[in-house]
Amino acid sequence: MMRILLIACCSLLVTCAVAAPIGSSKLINHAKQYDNIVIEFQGEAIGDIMVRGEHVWLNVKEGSSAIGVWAAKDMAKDIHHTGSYRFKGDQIKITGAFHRACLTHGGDLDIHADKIEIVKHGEKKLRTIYFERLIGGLILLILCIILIFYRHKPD
Amino acid sequence: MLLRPTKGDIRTVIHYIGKLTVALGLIMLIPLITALIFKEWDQAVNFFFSLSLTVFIGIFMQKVFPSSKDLNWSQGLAVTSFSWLMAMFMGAIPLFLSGHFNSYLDACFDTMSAFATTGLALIINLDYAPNSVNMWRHLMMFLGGQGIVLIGLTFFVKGTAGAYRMYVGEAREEKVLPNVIHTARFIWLISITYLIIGTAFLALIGFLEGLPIVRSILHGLWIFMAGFDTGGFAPMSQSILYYHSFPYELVTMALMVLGTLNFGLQYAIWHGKIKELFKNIETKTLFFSLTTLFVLTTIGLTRFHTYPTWISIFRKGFYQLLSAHSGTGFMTIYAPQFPLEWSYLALLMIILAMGFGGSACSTAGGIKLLRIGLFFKSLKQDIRHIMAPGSAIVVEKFHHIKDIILEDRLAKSSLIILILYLITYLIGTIVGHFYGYPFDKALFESVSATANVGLSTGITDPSMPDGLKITYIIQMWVGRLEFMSIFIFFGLIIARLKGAKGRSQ
Repeated sequence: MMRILLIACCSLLVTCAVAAPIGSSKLINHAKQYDNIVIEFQGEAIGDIMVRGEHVWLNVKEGSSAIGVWAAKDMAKDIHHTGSYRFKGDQIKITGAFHRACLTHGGDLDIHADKIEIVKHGEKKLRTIYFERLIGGLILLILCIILIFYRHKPD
Repeated sequence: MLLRPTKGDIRTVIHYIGKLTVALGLIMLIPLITALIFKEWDQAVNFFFSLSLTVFIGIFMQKVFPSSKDLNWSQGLAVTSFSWLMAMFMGAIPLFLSGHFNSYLDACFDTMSAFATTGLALIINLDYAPNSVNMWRHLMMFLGGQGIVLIGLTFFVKGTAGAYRMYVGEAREEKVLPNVIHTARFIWLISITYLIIGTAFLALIGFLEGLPIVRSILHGLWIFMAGFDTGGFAPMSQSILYYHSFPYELVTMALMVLGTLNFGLQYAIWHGKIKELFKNIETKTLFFSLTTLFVLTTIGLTRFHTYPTWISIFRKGFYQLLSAHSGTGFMTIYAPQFPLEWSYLALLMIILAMGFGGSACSTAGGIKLLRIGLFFKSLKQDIRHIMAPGSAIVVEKFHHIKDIILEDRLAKSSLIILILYLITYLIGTIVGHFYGYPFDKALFESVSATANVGLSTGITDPSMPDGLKITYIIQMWVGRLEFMSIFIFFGLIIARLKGAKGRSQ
């Protein structure tokens, strides 16, 4: 009975340890506290998925900062969109070991992913064109041409 | 006695500023074309509007204030200092219209940071910035590194005497070649050659490290512009850390070193005088300073167990130090890691490296290696003088392209600029501290802004007080132009208000 209770408590502790995703600001500002601990981190995949052999580097943004995630190539195959000018990137949840100064990656602050889940796929962004700026630009351009050809006659 | 500038003086100054404004407007064609190539239609409209407005203002200034006169000293220096402000106000327009800035002031901050090759940034959502906006940010940095006036000198200005006076205003008293316009063109030749080679290298590494081909070329071009011009902007918010690549870091380190070398020295090396590299006072000072500061940074980092391996000390400690010393501001760590994980000793070494800066007549900022070298040379001369018999004449020489005897006048002028830098570092620190930031962080940020570095402890943020943003803008401007043309700027304003009537010389 005691053993079952102990196992249940340990499982609960482990679950709690990785239960709520931790924000990027907390990870950067309290890096020593989370160093070498398995965490959950959720954010938007941005920029490029950079393939390095059987692994990939991807950068995941949460709040104002993005954190590098080192993952097996297979784990990133379901990521359709990364955040850019044109697309809102996929929201992904990473479970993996956080490193304040990674031993294998030259001291980078990074996460080595054990699991990547797609929370929500990204989508194309809509852009607004301000036609009044276009018209304003055209008027200014015409004024420039008039000024170039304008010759001030001395009195 | 202050002589009030005449209407003719003002007309000439405004006329030349108009010329440079037109040049700046025409350069906006590059991001406009970029926007069209990548089908960023909203940004294309923004750049078209900004280009038209800038060119219109420039032509208007020339038409309303016609002048065919060459510039005298005060006019030349005034044109330079006013042009930099004008460039800031005009260059900020497309940035503000892009929607990536909370206010026009923030856009002005980033524009001055780009032109002054600082690298501190208030842009929001940088990771989603369009290619055209990134092109403009990095292009401004590239042009600012060469010198805004240098652009005008190369293409628009005919009179060599007036041209030289504007050139000096951009903190470049050294002429690589006897003719200042030839010097300007040589600087462009060097820069464009390195641009092609550097971009190709970075693009290749970026591609091999997993970037798509077009992105690798664009990132290569932008990182080159920011690295060689010791600016420090990057297309992604993580700076160089984004690439997670040691080869990429090594190439950017080489670029930072190249950018911090004196153009005069580069001219000598280009003409086969390799020995100059080992004899020059600036390279010797850089080597000695970098070695000493790195040893002390390493002690600071190892005592705090900040990094677990020697390679990480090199990739984090030495990289940040070189970035600071060259005045670049590329980072491979997060800004808060400086105050949180680095010891005071290591932080102090970074502050010193930023404060010292790179070579004179380079794209780097700070006090400059030549002045630091001359300071120690004159100190040595004084000590030798005290120890020598009374009748002895102590002569101190230094090598900078040629052998030069250290004269009191030269030592004095170097010391004055050195003191002015120290005062500016201190003023910015006091202002930062006044706004509630810890002294060490305020000092770090102030030195970074004045020395046009761009490393940050996290103070530089869109939410920082407007007063501090304006302080840093002034520090970046003052630091880049090295005081003299700024003094002329304020001198002319005061003279206009209070000066006696007469003709300025």
